[in-house]
Amino acid sequence: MRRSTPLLVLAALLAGAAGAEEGANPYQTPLKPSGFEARAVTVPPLALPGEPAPEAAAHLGVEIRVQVTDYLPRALEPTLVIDGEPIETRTRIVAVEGDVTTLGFLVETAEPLKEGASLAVQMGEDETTRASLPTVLRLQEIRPLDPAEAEARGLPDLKCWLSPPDAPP
Amino acid sequence: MNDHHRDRRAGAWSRAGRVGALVALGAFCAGCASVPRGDLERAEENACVTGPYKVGRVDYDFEDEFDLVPSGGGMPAYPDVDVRATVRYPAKTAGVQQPVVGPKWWRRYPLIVFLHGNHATCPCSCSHACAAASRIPNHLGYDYLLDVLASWGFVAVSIDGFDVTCAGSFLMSDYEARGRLVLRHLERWQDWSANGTDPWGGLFHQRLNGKVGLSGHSRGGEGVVAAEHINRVEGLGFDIRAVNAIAPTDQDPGIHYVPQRPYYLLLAASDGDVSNLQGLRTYDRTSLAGAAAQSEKSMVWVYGANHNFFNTVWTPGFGAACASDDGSGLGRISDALQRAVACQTIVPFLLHHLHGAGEIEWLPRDGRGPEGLEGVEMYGTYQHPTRLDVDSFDDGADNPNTNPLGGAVSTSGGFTTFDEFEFKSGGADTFNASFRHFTHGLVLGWNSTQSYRTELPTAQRDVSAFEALVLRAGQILDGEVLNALDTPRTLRLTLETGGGTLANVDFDVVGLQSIPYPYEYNGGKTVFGMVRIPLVSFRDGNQPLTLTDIRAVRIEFRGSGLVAIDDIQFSR
Repeated sequence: MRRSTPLLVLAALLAGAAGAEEGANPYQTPLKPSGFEARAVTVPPLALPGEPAPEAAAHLGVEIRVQVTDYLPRALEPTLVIDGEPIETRTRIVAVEGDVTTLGFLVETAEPLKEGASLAVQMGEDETTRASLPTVLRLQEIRPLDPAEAEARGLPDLKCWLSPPDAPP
Repeated sequence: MNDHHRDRRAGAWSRAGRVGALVALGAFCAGCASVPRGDLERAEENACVTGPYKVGRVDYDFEDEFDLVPSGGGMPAYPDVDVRATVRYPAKTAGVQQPVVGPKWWRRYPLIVFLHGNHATCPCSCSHACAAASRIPNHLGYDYLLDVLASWGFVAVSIDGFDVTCAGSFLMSDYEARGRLVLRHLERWQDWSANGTDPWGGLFHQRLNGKVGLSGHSRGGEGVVAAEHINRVEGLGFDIRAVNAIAPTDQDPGIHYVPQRPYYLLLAASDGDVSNLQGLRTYDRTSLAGAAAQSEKSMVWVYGANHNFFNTVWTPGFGAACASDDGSGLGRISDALQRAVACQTIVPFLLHHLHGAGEIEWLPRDGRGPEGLEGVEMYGTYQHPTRLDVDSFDDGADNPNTNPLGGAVSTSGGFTTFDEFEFKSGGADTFNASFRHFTHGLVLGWNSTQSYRTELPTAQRDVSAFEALVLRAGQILDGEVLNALDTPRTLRLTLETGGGTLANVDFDVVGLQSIPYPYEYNGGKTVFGMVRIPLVSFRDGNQPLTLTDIRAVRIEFRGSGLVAIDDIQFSR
């Protein structure tokens, strides 16, 4: 049985405040994103152990590459947040230069990629670590796939992929 | 048995007799323990004392040995992966590269493989470009377990997952990569033991008995469960006997791994890294009622324990860069005590399953751990593969008035809450915000004595093959309306026979400490504990209750409370 009282809870809050003065728990500290770039990529189907090679063809996706200063690697995966909504993505470490780590988030559907969308990053579901990117998403700034690669793989044009079929021209 | 061994004994026996005797001896040895029975009795009291063997040490390092390529082929997801580890083993003399203790034909040992999780690879970043000497030796943080295990007759290996740490790939998940790295090491060990090809001149030639145990921490926990899965579904043939995950993740984007070997989950309540305790879901998904494959699963839930202190390299004060304390809140336990919790549960779990030490248990009883863990608040949960599931609440019907066996469920009618709910993080169901589990269950609220009765159909009433009545239960934070702190919530469990005999066992939720009060410093979420009442405790007067015609299970709730219940079972 956990024995706590309001006094203990108050003591915990005070201890937390004291901790903040001495140096906050790094696991409860917002990330420090400094910028991002977006590029169209070929998304290979994910092969799963013990299952036949996926029949689905590669498709188009967009990788959002976010530069984060003093990134703390931990068990939780980083999460990309678009317009306030956490997005399910595959993630990876793209590069590390000095104290800047570039995190890659693979967005596999066009739906969350809206002109002017705000971007943020956090660790897992933990909103205390969330931090916003300084600039918003500009669709025309997403680097398209190399045309030869797109043609060879039969992938759509990025602009077509980003625009739903019934969108106004 | 190779020619070398036959030749050594050629002077004593004729060839025909020699071969026959050795075959018989081999068959005998395959089933014998590698630790003398008398020594194992010491482990029943305290498995973290040094065992009977001295400890040898070797390390291996094969740089850029292989590419991790997705199942369908194509580009490597993780190229040039190192195969590197530190090893402890039972030795004739303590020290580096000392001979393995015991004659090969008599003493062979199980292999235990550890895998760490995600952490800095170079100080203090995800770079992989620092000099080898500057790398963070994440794999050396479990030496405290390796040393004890080796002294108890295990070859204990801790893998450096350098190339799959701080990495990730869109082609293969981090977790599959970790699992495949574990399997690569197992391949190496299999070859070394079979063919004497190890880098130390055949030191481990014929020293393994083929049994394997896996243990992983953090993403390594998900990685070892992935290894067990891949080994099984791809038919690789490693004899994995037990899997342990310490504060694991559960976040592979493509697959939710479900172990099908005895599984022990060690979960830290004050985990500030995997702060959503997602590893809890792995317990709930394993060996569901009705699943074709059933295996044992167990869990220990430790108040005040954080994520990092299970690994000394991640713990401040041990000299490694980038170590930190991720935990928060009051009631924290020291890093030394946290390692003792790991040792006092993981070592017995592995002794039990790989040395056949059936008397050794790793679960705390009544909220208390074994010797040396006095004062640590910890709760154990266990599910045996052989059982009768009276109600798992997982049949999808969300109907509290029948159980999946088809039996009627009834109540005294005065519960303030009585319904089935989803218990998981996220989602819109009423009590989801109170849980991080991944299951369905029953919520009962009461402010006066109330009773719940679930009936067994006629064909299911013989429970004499079982040993205990088991259920999972946890208290729900409700602003102390029904669940006031430190207020007795007495339950009475009753077995009702077809002839109308009632046999009761009473217990106090507070006194028994088997139904945890939520740990408020990590969100106050409910985590199930276990109520396990031996069936011999149910009496018919002075006689044991006859168990061949049990018509119903009743639970009576006294005082007031708000409790979640799941997995009512008769169990071995």
